[in-house]
Amino acid sequence: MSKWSMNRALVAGALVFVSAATGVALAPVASAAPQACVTQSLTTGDYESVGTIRYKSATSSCNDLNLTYSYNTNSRNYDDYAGRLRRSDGTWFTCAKRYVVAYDGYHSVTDSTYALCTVVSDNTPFTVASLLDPSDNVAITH
Amino acid sequence: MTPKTLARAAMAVAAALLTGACSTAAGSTTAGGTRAPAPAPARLTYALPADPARMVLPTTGAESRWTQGLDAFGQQVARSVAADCAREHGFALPEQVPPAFISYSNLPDLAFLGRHGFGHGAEVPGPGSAWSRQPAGSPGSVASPSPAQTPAPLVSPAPTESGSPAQIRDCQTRGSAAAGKVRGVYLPLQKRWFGELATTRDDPAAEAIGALPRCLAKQGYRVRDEDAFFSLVDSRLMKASSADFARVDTTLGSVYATCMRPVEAVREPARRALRERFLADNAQEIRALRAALVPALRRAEKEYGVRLAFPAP
Repeated sequence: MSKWSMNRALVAGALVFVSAATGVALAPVASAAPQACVTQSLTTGDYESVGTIRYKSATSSCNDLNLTYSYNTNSRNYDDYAGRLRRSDGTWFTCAKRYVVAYDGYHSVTDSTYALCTVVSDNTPFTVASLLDPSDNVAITH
Repeated sequence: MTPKTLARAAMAVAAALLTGACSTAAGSTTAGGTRAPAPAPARLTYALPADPARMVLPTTGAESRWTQGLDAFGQQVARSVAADCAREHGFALPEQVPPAFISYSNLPDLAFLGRHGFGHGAEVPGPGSAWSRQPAGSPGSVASPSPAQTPAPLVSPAPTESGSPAQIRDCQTRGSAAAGKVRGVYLPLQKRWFGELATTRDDPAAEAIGALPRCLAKQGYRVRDEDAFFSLVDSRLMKASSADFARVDTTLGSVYATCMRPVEAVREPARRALRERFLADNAQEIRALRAALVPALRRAEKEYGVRLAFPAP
């Protein structure tokens, strides 16, 4: 285990402890997710214009928008996903990761490959765009 | 996943390092204390490649600008058709996230990132920039997407009545069907190609990717890997004021482009070789694509009043 991985494992343990101590009610999370993160499902946009808009949790201890589940409802078992945020001036911003490929299934919350956006402020509106097919089912842990 | 407290501490450290090591890293102030000029805005181009297959099967960041344009075109067609449908029925669609040219982690467009950064690229033309409403210009012209140059839509004002969920869904389905028809010409091949591209991300460029943190550190950005640099970019761009946004973004994009050049120097030949094989393995479909794509796009432009445009550095 690398130093960084070890740190992450310690962080994950710490987050579970925080959750237990505060007793905060949280939405169900992917199996690998620390309890202090909130997981929400979304339908991706953009070409069908039906991308769900969610808001970065103000109560969770997590800071990023992690793609922890993705399912391309069409013919392929993968798609490319990008996170988009609304800045305080009202403009929409595509996070620096841009489109990143993900195969159908669950993705570890500690795998930075699937951190679509990072260090997101509380209550920031966000959505997920998909490239190859519209209306994919995804979950964002944040 | 970055816990909030750790992330804030890390960003504070990064900010301190940047302040100490590189006083102009944010791009807002020069060594002499004068304010650096804002970078030139990104532009649009309407020029198509000689081989239409390059739009669908990109191997470089520069080629991916065509792919981004195709992606945005599908979104614009869907929205145009849905908006026309809603207007016909006397209601307005809910506000939507605006379409964008979104580039690809696997295909970094270093020339574009170096000039314009990550977050303030070319704007997708609005509904007032439809093909039939464009000012005269050659098909290959490059134009700034300045709002001042965008003619007003030649349509009646949008109604303000809200549609029922069923009405909205019906119009969005119509838009989706229209976009699906356009995208159906190229999407089956593009889906397979993006699946192939995913295999070139780390191998054979693992060694070059490993050297990325050292290069970034020399530029004043001490991060552990590419993803950590993206994290730093997100943080700085979300916090940048509207006035500073472009300058901060361009500085970060320039640093990234400088340090990624050795990586792309390894990846690009590998992708080109992969595409050669892909073209050979799918020769019949490629022939059909080359014959059908541009006519289909031009038909769609005229039918839906949307112009195919691509970001230009």
